[in-house]
Amino acid sequence: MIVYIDDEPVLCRIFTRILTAAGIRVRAFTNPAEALAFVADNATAAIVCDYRMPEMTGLQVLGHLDRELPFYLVSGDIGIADEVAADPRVTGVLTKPFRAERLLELLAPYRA
Amino acid sequence: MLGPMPDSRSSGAPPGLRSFVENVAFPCAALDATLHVVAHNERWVQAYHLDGSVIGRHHFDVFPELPQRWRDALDDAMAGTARASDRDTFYRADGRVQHIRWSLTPWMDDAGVVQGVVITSEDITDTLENERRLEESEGLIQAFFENSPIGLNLCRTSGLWLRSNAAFLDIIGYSAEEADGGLTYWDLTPRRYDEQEAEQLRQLDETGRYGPYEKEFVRKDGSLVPVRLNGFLVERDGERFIWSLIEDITTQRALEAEVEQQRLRALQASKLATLGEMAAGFAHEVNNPLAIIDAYAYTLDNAVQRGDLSEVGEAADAIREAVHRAATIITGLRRLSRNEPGPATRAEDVAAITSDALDLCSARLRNHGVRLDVDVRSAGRARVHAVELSQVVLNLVNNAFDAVRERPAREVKVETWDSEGAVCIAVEDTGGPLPEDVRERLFEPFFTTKRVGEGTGLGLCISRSILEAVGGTLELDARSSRTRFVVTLPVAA
Repeated sequence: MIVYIDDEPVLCRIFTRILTAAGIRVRAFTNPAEALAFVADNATAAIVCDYRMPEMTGLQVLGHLDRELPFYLVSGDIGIADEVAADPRVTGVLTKPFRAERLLELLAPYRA
Repeated sequence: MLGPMPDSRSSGAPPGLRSFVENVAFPCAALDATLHVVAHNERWVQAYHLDGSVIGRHHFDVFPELPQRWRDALDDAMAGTARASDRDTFYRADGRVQHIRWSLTPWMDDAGVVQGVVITSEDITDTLENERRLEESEGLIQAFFENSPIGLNLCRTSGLWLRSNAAFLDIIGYSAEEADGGLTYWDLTPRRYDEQEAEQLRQLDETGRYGPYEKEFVRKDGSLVPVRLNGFLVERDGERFIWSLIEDITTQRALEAEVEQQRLRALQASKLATLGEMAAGFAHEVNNPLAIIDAYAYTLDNAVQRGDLSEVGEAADAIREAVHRAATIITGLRRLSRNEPGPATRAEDVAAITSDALDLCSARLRNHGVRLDVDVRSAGRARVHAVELSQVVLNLVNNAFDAVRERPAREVKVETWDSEGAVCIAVEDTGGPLPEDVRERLFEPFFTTKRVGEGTGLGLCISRSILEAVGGTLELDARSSRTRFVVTLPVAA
């Protein structure tokens, strides 16, 4: 199960559809706290998380994880990518806007 | 030695001597050989504060306090030797101290025998005191002139310099001999100041004063020195002179330039910082719609390949919605830029526009259980564009709505009232006071506390720029315990 976190509901909806169609099981959350609660109780293969959200940043989400998981950071900001890419806990960085194919490629290893 | 000889008193003084003594222009007395007074003038009585005539009295009886040295001098005069002093001190019996200029001259008969002494004396106490005071005050003024850190210069109205102090010489780099030996004001003034100088001279002529104004002098070494000048006219014996006060403002200029440099650097830095923040916010706001467009385009592509067109409509809608969102942000940005002229304004009824705007959103508030409290009691008109002002009101009410809609106390209050020369609108919510870090950034473009897609972070920023364009303001009411925004518009003339 992939957990997708983004405060943009439209992106949550469309990526859920695209990933599911590609055979990747996904749960999307617009609220990071809810996502963390879900991860704590459910087997999670990887997390894809937006960087800038009103409640907390992607890195704060990473800090709240109770275990080590593949963590992909998505950012629409300028200049965030280099900074967070240096964090060893971040598996990969996706810069918005990215091609849907790129996300599929990245998450291909987690196909059920 | 010489004692009282009453018989000689009657001999008196010869008429010529008496006439001289009585008419001479300073205090004078004549004594006979026995030191009895045979003649004196009125000035003598006044100078020594005597009680009227002392004719016939012994000199030592008149002045019992006469010091020994003067008694000795009288002896010398009686022996035929004239004595005099330009300045002597006379300690009077009444405690008075007088400074005296005196002379003792023997007077003789035709045979050359000494018959007595003519005493002239002047009380120069006051003269001396005046001289001392004058000297003292001159000394002080001279010391001021020489030591003044401000350049001082006296010149004729022709500009010919007469006196320059050390500070002024230091500024222009000439010696006192050079400066006050034929140099004129005009020798050191660059031609480009001619017009300014003419104006200062006109001012001097009309008011007796000139300056303060700033110019440059050409120093002896050819370099220019910036100075601040002011001065005034003085008149002596029908001739007019100009006193000038001259300050070297080189250091001040350098300091001002430095401060200006720092200000520009700080401004540049803050511009860059704002630009950076704006760019980051802008990127975030625009990149989300772009990501949405790409994702839906991908699904469109897939749908077409599969021949399943059931999702095409939704995808097209989502793409258009995303384009619209991005466009809204761009439009907002354009409005923020000063180059975009605002729409034409008219004197409008602020209360009416506010009420109309509230009609548009009251249903939405009611549906979410938010109480809308309206107190519209202004009568004033303000020069605005009606649509823009209602946009501002709607923006404030929507912000208030977003702040309270998930809270237990859901109330939004809108007021309008007339203030002195202004029409005001306040929008207040029960969302509690804003945290300090939010207050500080409230009006920054792209700053938002709302979730993605719910706020562009431009609302307050655009509202403020709309209001400022018509001479109004938009402020957070810092005194309110609630979140309260106040719009102030100048009353239309």
